[in-house]
Amino acid sequence: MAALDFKAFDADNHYYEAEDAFIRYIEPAMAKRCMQWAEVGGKRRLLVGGKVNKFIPNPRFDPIARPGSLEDYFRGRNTDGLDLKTMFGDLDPLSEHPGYRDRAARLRLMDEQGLEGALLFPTLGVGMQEALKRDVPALHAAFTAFNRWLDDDWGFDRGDGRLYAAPMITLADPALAAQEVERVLAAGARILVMVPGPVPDGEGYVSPGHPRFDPVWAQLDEAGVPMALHAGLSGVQQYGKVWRTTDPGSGSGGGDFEGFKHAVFPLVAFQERGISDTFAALICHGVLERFPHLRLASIENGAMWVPSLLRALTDGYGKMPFSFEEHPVEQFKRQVWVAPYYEDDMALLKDVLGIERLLFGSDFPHAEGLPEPTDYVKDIPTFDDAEVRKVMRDNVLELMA
Amino acid sequence: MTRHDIDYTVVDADNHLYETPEAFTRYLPEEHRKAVQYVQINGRTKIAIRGTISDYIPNPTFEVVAAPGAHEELYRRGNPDGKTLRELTGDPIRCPDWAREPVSRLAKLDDLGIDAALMFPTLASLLEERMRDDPDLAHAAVHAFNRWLHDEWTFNYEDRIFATPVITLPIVEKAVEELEWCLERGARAVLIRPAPAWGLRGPRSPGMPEFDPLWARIQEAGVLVAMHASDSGYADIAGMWEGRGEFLPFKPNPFRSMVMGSRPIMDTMAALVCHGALTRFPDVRIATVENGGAWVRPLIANFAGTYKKMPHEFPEHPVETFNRNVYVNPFWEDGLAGLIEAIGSDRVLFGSDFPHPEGMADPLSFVDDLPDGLPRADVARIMGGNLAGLLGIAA
Repeated sequence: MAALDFKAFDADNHYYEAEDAFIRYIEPAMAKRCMQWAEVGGKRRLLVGGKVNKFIPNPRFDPIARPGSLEDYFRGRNTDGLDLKTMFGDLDPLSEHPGYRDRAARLRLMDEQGLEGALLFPTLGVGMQEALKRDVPALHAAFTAFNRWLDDDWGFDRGDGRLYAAPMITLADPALAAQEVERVLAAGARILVMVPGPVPDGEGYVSPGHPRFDPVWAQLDEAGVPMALHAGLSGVQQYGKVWRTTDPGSGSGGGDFEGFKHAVFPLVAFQERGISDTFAALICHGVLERFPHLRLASIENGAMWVPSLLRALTDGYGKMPFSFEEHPVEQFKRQVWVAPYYEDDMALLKDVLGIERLLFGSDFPHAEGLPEPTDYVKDIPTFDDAEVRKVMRDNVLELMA
Repeated sequence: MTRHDIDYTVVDADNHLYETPEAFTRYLPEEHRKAVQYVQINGRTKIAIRGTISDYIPNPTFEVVAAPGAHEELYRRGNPDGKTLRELTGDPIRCPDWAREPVSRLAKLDDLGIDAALMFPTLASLLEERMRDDPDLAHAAVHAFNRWLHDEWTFNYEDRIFATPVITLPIVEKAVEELEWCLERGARAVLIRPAPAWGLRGPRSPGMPEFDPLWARIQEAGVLVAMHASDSGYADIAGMWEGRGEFLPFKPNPFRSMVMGSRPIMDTMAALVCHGALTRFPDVRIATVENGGAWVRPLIANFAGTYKKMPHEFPEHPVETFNRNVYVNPFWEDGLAGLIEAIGSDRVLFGSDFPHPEGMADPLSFVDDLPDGLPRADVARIMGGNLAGLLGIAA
C-alpha cells in the first residue's frame, strides 16, 4: 500500500452482485422475462430474458479471481505470451473475501487499504442492458428491482461518507427512466450509472443526446447529481459485426459478446469507441449546451481516447461552427470528469484535460484492477503533492459536491 | 505553374475524373439494366441505384462542378464566419474537358507541374455499398464501369495517367477474374474500397484466408492497391445514434464526421494486419488515398498496445507489418511532421485530390505544407519518388 498523508477516495470500486440482486424485488409478473437461475448440464447458469447469459463466465463469482491478477496483462507485460485464462491465476473461494458482498466487511477492508470512501459500481449489471434490449419493459423492471436490492445491501448513501453505490439507469423508455431517476434521487442516490453507447429503444438504437431524453438530463442538471458512464456492454459491440471472421452461427465471431474472450482485431479497432462516441453524441446533439450544470464521469473506460476526441471536436468546430452554440471542448472540460486506467499516460492527460478533472479509480477488486487501490499513486510520479491529492481525493469529492 | 524549387519528378496520388452518365450504363448487361438509371426529379437529374435515388453526389452528371479547391480555405483556416457549404463552394463551373478525357488532362497536368497521377473515379464509389447484398450485381456493375473507364482513359495513358479500375471483393473468383482483365490491359494500380467485403454469406474481413487468392495474384503481379476513401457503409454506425439515412459526404454534421471520417480506413488496416493477409503476402503494397493521415499514429499505438498484451495472437509484430506494406497519402492539413516521424518519408505520398472542391487548387503547394527543414531527398520521395517506384515509372 502506498503511503499518503491523507485518506484517498476511490472513484471506481465494485461489489460482486448477490445471487438474488435482480430477483429479490422483481415484479412477479416480470420475473420470467428478466433474470432467473437455471441448472444447465449440471452447472448453475444465469438466464436473462430466457437465454443463457455469458457476459461474466461465472456470474455466481465463486470462486473468484484475485484483485489485480491481470495487472501484468493490462500493463502490457505479457512477455511470456500467456493466454488470458492462465494469467487469471489461482481463484479463491468467495467466502475468504466477505468485503465483496458485505458492506460492514468492506468498510473494514477500506480501513486497511487507506480509503476514506469509494463509489461502488456493478460487475454483472453493466452487461444487462444489452441482454434485455429487445424487451424494454423487462429491462426497466429488472433495473428497478436491482436498484432496490442495491440500496438494501450497499446503500445509495448511508450518511457516513464512505460508500456511495450508484443505482443503474437505462434510458430505453424515457418515461420509465425519468420515473426511476426520480425514485432513486428521492431515496438519496448521490451518483447514478449507465453504460456508454447508443440507447436501445426496443428495435434499434438512438443517441442519448436525443431530445426525448431531456427530462432525465434535466432532473440530474437540477439535482446536481452526477451520472457515471461506466464501461459495459452496448450497441457499440455491433460496430465490429461487419468485420466478422466467421460465418453467422459458427460459434465465435457472429455470436454474442463473452467476457474475457478477446481477439486482437476488436481490441485494436474498437476498444475506445463506445465511450468516445457517447461523449461526441452528448455534445454534438446538444445535451451539454441544454444542461450546462449536468455532471458526467467516465469510469473504467481509460482515457487515452480523450486527446483524440478533443482534437476531433476542435476540428468539427473549426469546420462547422454553426453546429454548436459553444466550443465543444469547453463543454467537455466544464462538465466531464475522467478516471483513467493506471496504465494511461497521466502527464499527457493532465495537459489536455487539466488536473481538476482526473479521478483516481482502482477498479478494485476486479482482476483487471489494482490489488492495492492506492498503488495508483505510483503511476503519477511526476505529480506534485497538491496534484496527487486532487486526483486521489479532492476531485471526486468536488464531482459529488 | 512551374516552380523553380521543384526539380524532381512529381507524381500525384490523388487526381480525379468526373464520370459521364455513360460510365455505368454503357456496358451494364441487359439483365441489370435497371440497376443504374438516371432520372429527372423536379427538373434535376439524379442517379437511381436499384430504384433508389442517391444524393451521395448532389449533381451526378457533373455538367457543372465546383471549382477545384473551392473548399481549401475551409480546411486551411476553418470557418470563422460560419458560412454554409453552399456559400463556401461559390459559383459552379462548366465541367472542363480535362475531367473527362486524358488528352487534355495531360496538358492540364503539364500546366500544374505534375508528371504523373493516379486517376480515380468520383461517383463510382457509391456502387458497391448500394449493391452489397447482391454480389453478382456488384461484380457486373463494376466490370461494366471498368470497361467504360478503359474506353475513355485506358489504365495507363503514356505512362503518366494511371486510371484505377475497381476491384470488388464479394466473390473472390470473380475478383481474381476482374483483376486479370485489368492486368491484361496494363493496369498498374487498382482501386479497392476500404470496407468489409460483402459476400454471399454476409460481410466479412478482407483479411480472411478466403480472399488469399486475390492477394496472392496482386502480390505476384506487383500491382499497387489504392484504397481511396469511399462509401464504406459506416452510415450504419452513425445510424445507431442518429437514425438511418444515406451517407451524404457533403452535408455538414460534426457527429457523422467523427464516427465515419477515418474509421473505415483504420478498421480496414487493422483487419488486413490482424487477420494476417499482409503477413501472408508481405509484398502487397497498399496506398491509402484521401483518408488523411491523422489516424495513423493512434492506430500504431493501438497495434503496439494490443501486441504487448497478446503477442501470441499476432502472426508478427503488427507495427512492422503496417510499416512494411502500407503507404499513406495524408491531407496537407494533417500535421505532416508527426506522420513522417511515425512511418518514415518513404511511406508518405503526396496527393492533391485535384480537381475536387475539397482538394487543392494548386497541387504543388503541398510542398509548402511539408515540415520546414525536411531534407530535399525526403521531399522528393514524398512528392513523387515513392509513388513512381510503386508504379514502376522513372523518378
